[in-house]
Amino acid sequence: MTDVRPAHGAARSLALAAVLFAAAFALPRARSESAEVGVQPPASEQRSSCWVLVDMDSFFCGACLDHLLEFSRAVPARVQEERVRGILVFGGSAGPEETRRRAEVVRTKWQGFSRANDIRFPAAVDADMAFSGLLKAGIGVLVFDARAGAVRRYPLPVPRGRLEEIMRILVD
Amino acid sequence: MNIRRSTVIVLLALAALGPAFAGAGPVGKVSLEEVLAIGGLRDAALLQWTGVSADAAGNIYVLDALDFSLKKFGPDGRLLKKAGRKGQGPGEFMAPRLLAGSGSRLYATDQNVFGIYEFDSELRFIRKIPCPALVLALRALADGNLAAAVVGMPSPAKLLVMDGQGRLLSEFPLAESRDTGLLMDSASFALDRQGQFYIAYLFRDRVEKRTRDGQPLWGKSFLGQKTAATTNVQNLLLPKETCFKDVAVDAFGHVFVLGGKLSKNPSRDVYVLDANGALLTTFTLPEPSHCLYIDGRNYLYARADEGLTLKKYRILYD
Repeated sequence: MTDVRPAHGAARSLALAAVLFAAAFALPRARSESAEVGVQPPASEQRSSCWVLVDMDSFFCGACLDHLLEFSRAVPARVQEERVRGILVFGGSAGPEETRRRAEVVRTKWQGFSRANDIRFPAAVDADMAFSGLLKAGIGVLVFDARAGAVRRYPLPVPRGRLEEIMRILVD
Repeated sequence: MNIRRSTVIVLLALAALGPAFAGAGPVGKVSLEEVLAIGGLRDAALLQWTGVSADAAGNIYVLDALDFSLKKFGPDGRLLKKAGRKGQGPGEFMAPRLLAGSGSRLYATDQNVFGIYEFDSELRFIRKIPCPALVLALRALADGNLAAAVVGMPSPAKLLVMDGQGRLLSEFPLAESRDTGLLMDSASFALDRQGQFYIAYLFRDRVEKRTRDGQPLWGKSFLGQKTAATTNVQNLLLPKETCFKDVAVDAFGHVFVLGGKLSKNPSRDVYVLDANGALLTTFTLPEPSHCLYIDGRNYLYARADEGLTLKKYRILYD
């Protein structure tokens, strides 16, 4: 398993995201062309996907919840389940024990919130706080555009028009 | 009803109240004994509770901001009923915040809605009571009237008393001057049995007592005259830190004021005052809370686990 250490700046987080992105796309290659190291699979075999960074420290903020719900309503349930993953990001806390407790809080809140609001994409807690830098930089959604071979970033709320763009990338 | 029967009823009532009032007397020290916890770290019964109220039978009503609901729990903490969802229709919420109860009625607010939602004790939506401004704090009075602290924009924040139809009965301004900035006069409040108001300002180091018609009786500071830092957002001066968060009155007329960010233990320190504003003692909640509620049987309710848990405490007086 990759040793993922906490990154503090947005640049480090972005670099981390790029590494994880590469790792995600390495999977089909490993399956189909395991002998041909470094050969990219054709774009048609890759599937675009999307990460939503959820700011759990702003979960009391009604407007922030609305932005998240707007996004989830705009993405069909099946696309959410297959292509979208949530990362539950929370801020620093005093010591590992408190961090574990907060991770537990965040997990339970998300489970209840997603069930109550029919959010279908699965989510995982950012237990090592690897993504807080990205969130501070105003990045809410990372889209891995398989066709273009590029990662695109969007704020939350996703501006009108850009949501359609994300949908096109995910569904293409 | 004859005298003997009345006496039995009074004795039974006192026996029922007994545990909650244990050790009551002159206050030298106040401590809490946890008697009930609803929700928990791995329990999604509550997600981010905001408002709380309890009825005479010990049922507990809670607003939850993450599933946009009003929930009713039995005295043992078991979920009895849940109502509401996200929306703007009858019985729906966009951002549920404040809850107050009186008799068989519950009154709830939605953060950005001008009005107060009325429900019965089975969580059936009854109506929306009109209110001329956004509500910052809400109390249901024993006579069926409602008292609300409301945002003043651009006029100063006010405290209103309305009847059950929303008709204004009286009002008085909370601000001393208009130059304190937007929201700087936001306040929470509680009433004593005489209907006099205790007002704790959220962004000013000031706790006041006023008569029913708003005449000042006293005003005190408890944080060394600290002033909340402000920030300028699009030419609006907005406060960033809280001095006080909430205020409640116990069965003996003691005033419990929950300190905010500027307290030594932010959102945990509680200042206990007598009716004249003298500081009797302070105590510290086990975990930070956004509010403080004391029910008719003198149990205190506060938040734990960042809103996943509601804790009910017996108040112990030494």
